[in-house]
Amino acid sequence: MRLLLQQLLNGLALGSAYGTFAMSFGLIFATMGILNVAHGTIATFGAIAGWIVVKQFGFSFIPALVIGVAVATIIGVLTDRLAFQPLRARANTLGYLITSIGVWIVLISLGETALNHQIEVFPPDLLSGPRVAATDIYLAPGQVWLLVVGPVSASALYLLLKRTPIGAMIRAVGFSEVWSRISGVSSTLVIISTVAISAGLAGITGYLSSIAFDNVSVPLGEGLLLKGFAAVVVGGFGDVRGAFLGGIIIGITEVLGAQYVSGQFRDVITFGLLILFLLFRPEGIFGEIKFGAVR
Amino acid sequence: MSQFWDIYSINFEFALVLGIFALSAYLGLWSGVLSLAPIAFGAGAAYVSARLAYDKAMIGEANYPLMTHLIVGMVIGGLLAWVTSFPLLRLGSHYLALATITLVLIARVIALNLDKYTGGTVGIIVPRQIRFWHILVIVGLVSLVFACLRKSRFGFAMDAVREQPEVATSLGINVQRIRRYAFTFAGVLGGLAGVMQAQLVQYLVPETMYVELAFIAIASAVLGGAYIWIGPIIGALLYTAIPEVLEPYLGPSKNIVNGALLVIIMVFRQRGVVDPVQFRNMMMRRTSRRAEA
Repeated sequence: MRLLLQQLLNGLALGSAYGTFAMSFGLIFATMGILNVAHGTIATFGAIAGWIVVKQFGFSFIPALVIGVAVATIIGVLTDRLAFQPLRARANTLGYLITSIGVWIVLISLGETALNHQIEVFPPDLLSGPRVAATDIYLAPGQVWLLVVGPVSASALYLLLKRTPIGAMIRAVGFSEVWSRISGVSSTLVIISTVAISAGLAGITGYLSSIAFDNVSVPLGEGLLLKGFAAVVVGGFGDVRGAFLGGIIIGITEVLGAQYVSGQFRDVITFGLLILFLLFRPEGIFGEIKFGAVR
Repeated sequence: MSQFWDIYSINFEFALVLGIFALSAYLGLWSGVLSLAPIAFGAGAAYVSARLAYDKAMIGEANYPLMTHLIVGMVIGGLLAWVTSFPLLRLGSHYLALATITLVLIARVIALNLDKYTGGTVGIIVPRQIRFWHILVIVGLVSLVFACLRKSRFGFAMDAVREQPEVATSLGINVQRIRRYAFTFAGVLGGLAGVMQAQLVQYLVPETMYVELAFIAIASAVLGGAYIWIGPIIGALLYTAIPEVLEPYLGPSKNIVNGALLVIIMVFRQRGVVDPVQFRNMMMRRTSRRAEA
């Protein structure tokens, strides 16, 4: 029982990371039709930037978090301005995919250079808060942060999109850029803020996961990206709730599968689930796309 | 010259095989489908072909002639594509693109876990039977097929499906069937290229044909020009050559330049390096100028 509870919490923390990332990835996919392959590497840069300021300048947890998110946001917005904006007039998903592959190659090289091809870890005393240890259940501080930040950011993003004027504008631009401009929405501003939200969320996820799983490296972001694809297929990318829930489902099945079935088969269960979804509910849990893509 | 050849022939071989992968991605695009699935089918085909030679592979000998391996690869690739086309092609374009990427991810997991047959993470040795001239002949034959396809009824049907599926339907073209044929043929090509790639590397692990190769294949297709068959081949050659040319000047940062070039080319030439429409316009302008004179 204790083991089950422990593993459920581990799974939730992992799933929270996958879910937050999938949400940020799905947001720009659903609103702009950009399948951003470089998104995982943007998350990596959140982790790398945080790690550098902690290591070089002795920043503490929160300031490093701010720096990590800021760097990821800047990279995300720059990527959009340099690689996606020039294509926006007539591009389709394919053009965006190709330029994002280019950005991905550039960012991976830069990331490997910044880390000198090593796998780094944050100093263990960065988050010195005691491990949560109620009735023999242990959670690392990084995991606790993931458990809190995931659901909070998911609800915040959901409310932002559904209940606020900026959310309405984002959905309007997602539906049709031309029509939203005719109705007086500054599409450039909306696109930049969407991209900033998305890249910032990726940065938070990258930074917190690298602390929770003791791994600052380029493959960290690639792992998030691949699991993000999976989560989006399971949950459907048209809906924030779907992508987040998809991430949670994948995180929990991964951890419980490794515990109770076989560590070796951990990915088989995840991807078996994926095949089932592709066969029987290809549009994901929450179904239809809620807003179309700018093409 | 021969020294140059000794150094670069292997790159050239890889570039040509990448060209076949790129052509398989191009087939999808031609029928209006963004699909990375041929790389997954290539991996499947490569494993089956490697298994055929397994008992003698350790001593570097092959059980069967190269032809058998290539045909087995094409059949397996085609079969896998045909079977998966039924659930996949029902999806809308966005979901389809995601689903084919997940197919590549799934292929790796399957290869990892069927370690009795695939060697798991350790991999499996593949004896190399393919020679340079084999690759040249194969690329030539594939190009010939594409050149014939371009002016065939099927080719025109694919053009119509790509540009306007609704109009194609109203012209009596069965869009789903055209896409299924193209998807299956892309699988055949993927299988062929997968077997060739495995023989070039002489070693097969689950990551040999994975997301990176899939991305590079589709990037080559679009970079070279996704509106005529020569485009993907030229794209693959360029994609392989550019880093080699830059290596002496830039060293390890050549990848950064390569990625940046991909972005720049796409921004300034959205239809790729080779664009038949532009070529046609150029020729027409020239003939009209000659007529004026």
